[in-house]
Amino acid sequence: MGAYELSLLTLIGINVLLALSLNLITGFCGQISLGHAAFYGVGAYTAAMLTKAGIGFAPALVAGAAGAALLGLIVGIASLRVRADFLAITTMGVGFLFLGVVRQQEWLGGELGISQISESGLGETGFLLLVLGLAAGVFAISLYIKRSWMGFAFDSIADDEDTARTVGIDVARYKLVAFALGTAIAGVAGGLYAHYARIIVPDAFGFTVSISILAMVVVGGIGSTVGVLIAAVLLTLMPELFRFINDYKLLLYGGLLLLTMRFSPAGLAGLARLGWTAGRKAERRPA
Amino acid sequence: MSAPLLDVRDIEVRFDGLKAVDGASFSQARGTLTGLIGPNGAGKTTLLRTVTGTVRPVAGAVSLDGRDISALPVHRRARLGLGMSNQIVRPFRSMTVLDNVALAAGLDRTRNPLAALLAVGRTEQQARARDLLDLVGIADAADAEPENLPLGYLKRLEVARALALAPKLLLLDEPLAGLNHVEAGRLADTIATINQTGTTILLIEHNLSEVMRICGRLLVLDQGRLIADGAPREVMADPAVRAAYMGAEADAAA
Ligand SMILES: Nc1ncnc2c1ncn2[C@@H]1O[C@H](COP(=O)(O)OP(=O)(O)OP(=O)(O)O)[C@@H](O)[C@H]1O
Ligand SMILES: [Mg+2]
Repeated sequence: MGAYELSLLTLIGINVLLALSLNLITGFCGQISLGHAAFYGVGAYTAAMLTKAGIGFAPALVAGAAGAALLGLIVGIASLRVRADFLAITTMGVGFLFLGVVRQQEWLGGELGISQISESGLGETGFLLLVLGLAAGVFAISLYIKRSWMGFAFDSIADDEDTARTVGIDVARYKLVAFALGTAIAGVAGGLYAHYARIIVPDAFGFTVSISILAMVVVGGIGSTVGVLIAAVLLTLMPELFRFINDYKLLLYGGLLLLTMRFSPAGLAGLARLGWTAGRKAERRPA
Repeated sequence: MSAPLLDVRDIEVRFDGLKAVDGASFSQARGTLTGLIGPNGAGKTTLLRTVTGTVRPVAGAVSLDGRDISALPVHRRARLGLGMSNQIVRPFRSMTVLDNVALAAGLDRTRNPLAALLAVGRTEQQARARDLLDLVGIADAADAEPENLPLGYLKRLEVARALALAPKLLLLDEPLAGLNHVEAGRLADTIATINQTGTTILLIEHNLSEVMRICGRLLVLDQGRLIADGAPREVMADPAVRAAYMGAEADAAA
């Protein structure tokens, strides 16, 4: 495998992790987030600062996850009282707040970010295997959660939280679990990204990135683990294959978001189901 | 004699100036089937919602089984034994009819996120859900999406879902509305049977003939106040009750 393919696969793995992490919050539990990149950023900055300070790569990743989850819990608690439309604005605000704060901090490198981040020590192939292993693990965990009673409870909350309460669901606690889990995984993705790129700047965690992650979840089919995985791969490849797209990322992802919501609210997963039923009907028709 | 199962004290609810419930008090003994009637807008639904906790009163207290539950959130009250069927149906539209009920039947599985995470498999709860759907007469719609069902089915789904919580007190808000004459009679019989097998029931219903037939006691609410309480025949003969209903009819005619 060439260096380019190795690097691209690593990036795909990181984006799959990110998309699956948001899928837990937005897809499973129905809580919209327009600021997911902030948690990704907290993980990246935390892990980068720690390995630069001489701490090992593994504990730095864990600390990045913990930092992101802590912020996730705070945002989660703050958002328990707000309705869906306010949650979109709150999380967007958190995203901008994160950028604003990071840009102002000398010790975090300000606008220039952090460069010369330490190597993971795993080598490029080892690093890729770690990323793919984690992505596969989170994929498996997502499938499991969906099947468990936690997934069942999430379904009810995403559907109608007032009614969920009347059947005994402690909506607040379940939401906080979704936020903590999802943001912790985003934090891991951030730590991985920092040691993959080995240089991070605030803009790598900006609004465009939040929208890209959301686009992966929505295009894949909100809540469909397989659909989100496929969308994360496709949407990562697209700007790589067509370089000019990079300049229009926000436009493209925003457009894809709107198109999906307008024409196929269930995303790729919904289209696949439609195709499947249509195909079976066609088969049953006499030739 | 033991404490009543439900005790509602001096409940007062306001919606921007409007007093929806105005100092209502009553209690209900274990094992009874009580009807709560009154003209449209009397505050019946609102009063029941203060019991489940979905509406917060500005004053008053609610006790279940001798315990003051006024400060408890909705989900805790459901776990202590309160199940309510909604007048305006609220099925989970992303689930089948069966799963709507199975979720409620899995009260023990969903008690906290960790327990829920460790539990997989719904067969047991789905079997119980199927029995309950059968009990209320909509087992044929078990695998349907709520979206495609007529109101009469969704009303009974509400009842089955509330029953799945195995509540100590079952609160039913107009479960017979939307059912034809035969279905209504049958569901009323089922409600009476559920009561005879040990569940205490408080029933809001406009179908007075069925209420008179199955309830042992009637409460009448008018403009947020309880104006009568007693045996169904006596209550219906009460001039104040007649006036309340006549007044409402006169208003409707005007
Ligand atoms: N959420 C709300 N916001 C504002 N006003 C409300 C709300 N819910 C109920 N009301 C008002 O409170 C009063 C009592 O309503 P409620 O639904 O409790 O009456 P009801 O006795 O159940 O009537 P019905 O027999 O028509 O169901 C009505 O005037 C109603 O318009
Ligand atoms: Mg009502």
